[in-house]
Amino acid sequence: MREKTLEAPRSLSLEFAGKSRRENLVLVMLAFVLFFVGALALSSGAVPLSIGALIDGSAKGLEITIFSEIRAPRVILSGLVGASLAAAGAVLQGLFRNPLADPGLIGVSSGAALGAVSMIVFGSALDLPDWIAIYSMPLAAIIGAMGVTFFLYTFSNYYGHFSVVTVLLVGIAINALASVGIGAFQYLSDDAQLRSLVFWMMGSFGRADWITVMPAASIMLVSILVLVRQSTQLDRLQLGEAEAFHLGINVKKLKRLVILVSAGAVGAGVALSGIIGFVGLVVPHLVRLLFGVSHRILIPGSALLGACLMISADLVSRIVIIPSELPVGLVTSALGAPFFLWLIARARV
Amino acid sequence: MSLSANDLIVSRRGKNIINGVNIHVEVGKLSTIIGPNGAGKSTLLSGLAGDLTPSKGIVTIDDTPIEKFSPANLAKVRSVMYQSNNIVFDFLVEEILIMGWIRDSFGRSPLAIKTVFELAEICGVSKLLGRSFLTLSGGEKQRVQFCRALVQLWRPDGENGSRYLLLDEPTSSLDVSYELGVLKILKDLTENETGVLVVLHDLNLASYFSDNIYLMGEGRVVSSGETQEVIRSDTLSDVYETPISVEERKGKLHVYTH
Repeated sequence: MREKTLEAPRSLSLEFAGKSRRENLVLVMLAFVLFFVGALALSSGAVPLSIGALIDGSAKGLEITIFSEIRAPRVILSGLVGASLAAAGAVLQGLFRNPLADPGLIGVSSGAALGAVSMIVFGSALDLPDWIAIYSMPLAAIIGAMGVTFFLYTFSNYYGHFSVVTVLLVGIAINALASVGIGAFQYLSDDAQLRSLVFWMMGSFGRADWITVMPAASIMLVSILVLVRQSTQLDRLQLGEAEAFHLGINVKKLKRLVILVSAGAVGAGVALSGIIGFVGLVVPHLVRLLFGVSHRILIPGSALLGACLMISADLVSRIVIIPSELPVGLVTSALGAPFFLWLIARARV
Repeated sequence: MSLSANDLIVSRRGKNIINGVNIHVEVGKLSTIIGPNGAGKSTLLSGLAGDLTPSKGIVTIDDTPIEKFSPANLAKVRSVMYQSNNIVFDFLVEEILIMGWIRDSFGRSPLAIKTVFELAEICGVSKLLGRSFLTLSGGEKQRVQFCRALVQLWRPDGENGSRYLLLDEPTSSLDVSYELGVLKILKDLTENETGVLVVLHDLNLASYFSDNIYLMGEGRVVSSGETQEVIRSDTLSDVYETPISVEERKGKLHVYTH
């Protein structure tokens, strides 16, 4: 529990004012960490690169190609997927006022996965022109994620309200349905499809290239910025939906916006990287434990920390068993879970 | 100037919870709603707050239908305090209070901080400001929520216009001295172009402080008017279905149960 005692009135105003400054400081600090982690991830790997050599032009052609065509898109993708999952997790936890809400838990990731898997198995049969075929999987994933959130929204609205329990229970049902769908696709797929499907399900950034990363990256970046802008409103929502309305918030509109935008971010991320669990649930909790629960720090803080964590996890997955790679989903859980346990033990929440 | 409900009917699952209620929360007056459990007091309050769509009838603020107000504009003229306390995450009391500040979007202006501190002092929560809300007792939480409702209605001297404050049993967990404190604050507010409506359980408290009392039973207003007209032994005994006697002593009414 965070606790402070305030003595005199004067110290109160200082405390309040100091807090905004502290929040900015935390974000700047996280941005520095992200920069450092990013640079480390860009230079390490099966082929070590020197950032200095790349800048002063003494790098060889092969090194430049590895940097610009393989490593840079991969680091950018992993950072943005981590940021998206963590920010979406933070926002969904706030929206449903439930510390357990997470894109995976309420079925959004499964919806995206179902969309993507259907394209892995049936994409070639559709005989799409090349320029669409590249984007067919991300598009199908986004449609899947939005389909699920739209369904969640209408289903809960139809029954008059939008309670936490309803959403979580419907999420369980959706996850079950999606796994039926995914199972069916697995059954229908041939050997090669099954292999790529299984690896995709474990989560990996190995397929990152600029053509697919750029559009997904723009969707994720814009989504995160939109979510950050909702922080004051999400803070007030924590008092309760009726209370938020009393404070002047158009709650329906806020919910619709937040659900659509977080679905877009998760869908775009899942399409390129597969299902990477844990990040959306744990990163927001880490930020709450370390820096406070206000969404003004929670959303940007989660995005930055999520990016750091995902880039490091991907780095570990690349360098542990060179030249082979671990699925990054395994790494995120292995890295994050003990850390989270330690934090819980320390804070005795 | 008043916040009014005219022939209001609210039904849920085919049952009329509010059944043709007329109520006027007038600026400058402290109105109270009393009545037994399940009489529809809280539902009426939500109706007046603009939370629900009535099946029939209309709610108006200064003669403008409430649905013509955007949520943001509504928040500028009426503040609400409910009984519910379902905050999940570990906010500090000062963070809860600053959420009530709707005058500028960032909520950390020097004026906001100064106001929050002043109102916290008035509501007796200034010692709690740095504490985690979740660790407070029921009564402390109630005082914080009360203070937040006041932060929302704060305005500088010289700014005019009517405003309304609706409270659902704001003193249910408070000890006697805070209970009186809250009602005195409400009474003071009415002198500053504010109409206050409080749902109260304590009949003595209601009869002591109210300018207007609405006695509800089974979704209707059974009796309304000034204290003397409503706080009567026969009416109360009838509505509460238990013997209640009322005595006048030193010009004040005292309510007894047997």
